[in-house]
Amino acid sequence: MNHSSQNVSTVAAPVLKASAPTGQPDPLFSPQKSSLALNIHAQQALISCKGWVRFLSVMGFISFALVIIAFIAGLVAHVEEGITSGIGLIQMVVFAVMSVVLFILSFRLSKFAGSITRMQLVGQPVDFEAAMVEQMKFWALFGVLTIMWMIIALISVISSRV
Amino acid sequence: MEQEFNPYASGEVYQEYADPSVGIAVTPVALGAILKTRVWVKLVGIVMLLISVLTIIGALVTMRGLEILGSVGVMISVIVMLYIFIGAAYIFMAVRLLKYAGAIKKLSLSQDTNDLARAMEMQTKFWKLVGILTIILMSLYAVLIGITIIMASRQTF
Repeated sequence: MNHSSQNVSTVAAPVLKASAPTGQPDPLFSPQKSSLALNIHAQQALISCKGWVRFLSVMGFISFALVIIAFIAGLVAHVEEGITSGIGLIQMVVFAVMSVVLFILSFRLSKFAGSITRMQLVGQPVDFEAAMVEQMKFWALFGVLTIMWMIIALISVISSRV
Repeated sequence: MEQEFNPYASGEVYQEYADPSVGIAVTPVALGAILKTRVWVKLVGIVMLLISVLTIIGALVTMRGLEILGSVGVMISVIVMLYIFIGAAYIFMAVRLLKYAGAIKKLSLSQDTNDLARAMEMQTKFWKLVGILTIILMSLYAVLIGITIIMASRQTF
């Protein structure tokens, strides 16, 4: 018998004591064959990064709350004085966009940490898959934001020189 | 008679972790997601490196200019040092990200389990660094807020 294939969980292996008996394949999940496996070192690395990712997502949510408070305070001030300048309006839009972006990034990190927790508890390939997809989505959004920020910075540099 | 399960009873373990010595199969979707991450991680890493170099050069040029004018105060020195610290932090983060991107590239070529573990380790090191830097930054903010409050109270009384 192939030893390496014996030690790889390709099917559901729930270890929840109160759930169904262990070792039985999950009929809802049938993973495709793959020779690549997440060994003990990779699992430990992912599990140890979970706490940091969770911490950063919580910090992101706190920042989101602070930006929302600043947005509401700015909105109240503008409503009391009446929005007279376009700059004030732009600032409000920037605050709104920032808060939405912060929330989405924090949400992605939170889901990433949640998938790692599920992977640690249940040890299913689908949880690792979910973790990697969430991570990819986080980096894709961060990358798009980086490109947008670079374009805005470039435009502002060029416009200041003209 | 079937015994009733009480998850809240003291001394009982409700859940236990899966055995990590059993490898978890990597599905094509998971592998695809890891490989797609590489481009974005590399982009962000390069931009971070660029920002860090510009930040450090900017801080040093400002410091030099103020030295020539003879108007370097303690507060300006602290701000310049803070900028240099931020620049250095960006360099460390960029290096970690570029190493992570490199590990993913190696994984895409070899499709080896050890390379996957290496990529996950690189990712962990990056998140750990970002977490530690966030704690340091928060501590610095707390100190700055504390100093501001003390100075304001001294001026008031």
